[in-house]
Amino acid sequence: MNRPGVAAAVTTALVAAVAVAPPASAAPKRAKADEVCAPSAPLYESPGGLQIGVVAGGRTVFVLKRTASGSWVRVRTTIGARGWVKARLLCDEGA
Amino acid sequence: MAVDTRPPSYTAPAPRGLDRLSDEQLIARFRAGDDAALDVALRRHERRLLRFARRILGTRSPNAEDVVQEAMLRTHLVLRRGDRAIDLGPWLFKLVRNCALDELARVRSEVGPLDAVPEPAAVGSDPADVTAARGRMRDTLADVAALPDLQRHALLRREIEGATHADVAGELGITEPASRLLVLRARANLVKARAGRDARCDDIRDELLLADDAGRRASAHAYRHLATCAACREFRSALRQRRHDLKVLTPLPLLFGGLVGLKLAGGALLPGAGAGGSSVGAKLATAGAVTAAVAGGTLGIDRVFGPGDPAPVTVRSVAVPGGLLASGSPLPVGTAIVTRTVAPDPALPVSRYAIACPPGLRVAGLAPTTSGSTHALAPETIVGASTKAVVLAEPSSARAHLELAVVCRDPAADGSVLADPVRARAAASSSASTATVCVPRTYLRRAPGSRAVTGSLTRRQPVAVRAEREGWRKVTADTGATGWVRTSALC
Repeated sequence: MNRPGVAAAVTTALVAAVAVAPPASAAPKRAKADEVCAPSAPLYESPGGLQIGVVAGGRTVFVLKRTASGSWVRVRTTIGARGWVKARLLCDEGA
Repeated sequence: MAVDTRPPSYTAPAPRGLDRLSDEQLIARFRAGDDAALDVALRRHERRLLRFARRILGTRSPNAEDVVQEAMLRTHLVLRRGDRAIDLGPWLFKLVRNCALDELARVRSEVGPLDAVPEPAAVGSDPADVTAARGRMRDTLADVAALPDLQRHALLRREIEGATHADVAGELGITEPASRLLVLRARANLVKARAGRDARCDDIRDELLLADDAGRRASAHAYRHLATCAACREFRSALRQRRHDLKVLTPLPLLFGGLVGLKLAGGALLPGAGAGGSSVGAKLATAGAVTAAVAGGTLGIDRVFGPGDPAPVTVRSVAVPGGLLASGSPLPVGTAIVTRTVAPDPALPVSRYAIACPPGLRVAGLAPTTSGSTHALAPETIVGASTKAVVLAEPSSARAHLELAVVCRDPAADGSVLADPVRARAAASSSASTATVCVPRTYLRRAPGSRAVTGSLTRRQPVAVRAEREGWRKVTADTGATGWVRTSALC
């Protein structure tokens, strides 16, 4: 009796198909906006690496990437700088 | 009934018979519900509109097609929403022109210097003439784009389309004399803008100096020049900063008043100073000088603090031992801090400053001196590899001036600029070899080919290679971060 297994396989295939299917429009993916909720957020070249700047509190940042652990977020700032900030300093934690 | 706002499709073949109809007939059919009719009408004009947009924006502009699409979309919406009679051809050209000028204005406001505006096409055989013509055309278009909306509309309707003042007045809902005045002002503004742009920087700077000396604003002519000349804007900022510096230094003579016989850096004696020096006084003077330097260095002048010098700012970074160096603490060996006081232009969304590290040292980060303003290294600056830092700074409403502090480090033999790089664990592993990152930036991934990242690496960053698998290597960076990178990203 392998019906549950078959059902799981079909479900997985459907999910994969939806996940892999290209979006209806070919519009470029937009970075999600978030906001610095702390008085300021230090900007780092890499998680735990060299500090390369600071983002003032209340400023918008655009989330480019998250680490697998979710504790660091790579962002683009409104002045064009890019770097990593700690997720907990963002209002939505880069989610 | 909901309005269909979808843009028309221009790729489908035209239904038979529609090609023979006039624009007016096609518009009538579109308004009667035949969407294909407008497609046919728009497609007729599309190629010429694209050429027209490229003439304004430049042949290499990627935005010409967007501008044409925007004009067509607007036409589609206007026709769908009302029964206003329009002459399709001129209407489309007018829309494309306005959209293209808006695009030019947008590019100008986002990028700032006109150098970034794409060059429009020009005709001629002599390359020098072509270049000059392109420059003039670009400047004129930029000036037109910068005109107030009403002036721009009135001028273009009169100059290009030959409309009467009665027409313009009717369109704008103003009187004919007011239309005439708008056109005159637009022409005058174009002439002034050109005069301002063509003015010699030396003359403008002389005028700025005179205005600064007299404590008054410079002329509108000077400001028009400043709008297009980054070098003169920097000069004006330097003047402002110098004034600010003098205010900061005002109480210092009181501090120094009791310091007998103390020599200033330039060798001049303080007024009233005696012959006997005082070590306490010297320390006070040094402290005062450092305070003054930090509170507001001379604008545009870099101050370099080397090993043993008191740190001008607090540094929280893995570039210094222990990750923290308090302000005033001696700078460790192999470390320098270069500071510069800047005045970000409030008229620009972001200002850029290039600050070089001392010879042999590389950029190892930026130590923020205030949390009230966003400032950071530009993406083209690669920490650990670049010898010059390009700093981006936003204008701050709270502070006119901003102190930038670039941390520089003498790289170790393996290229690391960290004070305490993670090497021990990597070296302890017998299987580990070392490598250096060869690309500007790359992500560290949790597994080969995985989208999940654990960090990132930059050019010249040393890594210890722990494993290898099908074009990927598992590495540990000098920061301690571990992950997989493509073999091609390593040297």
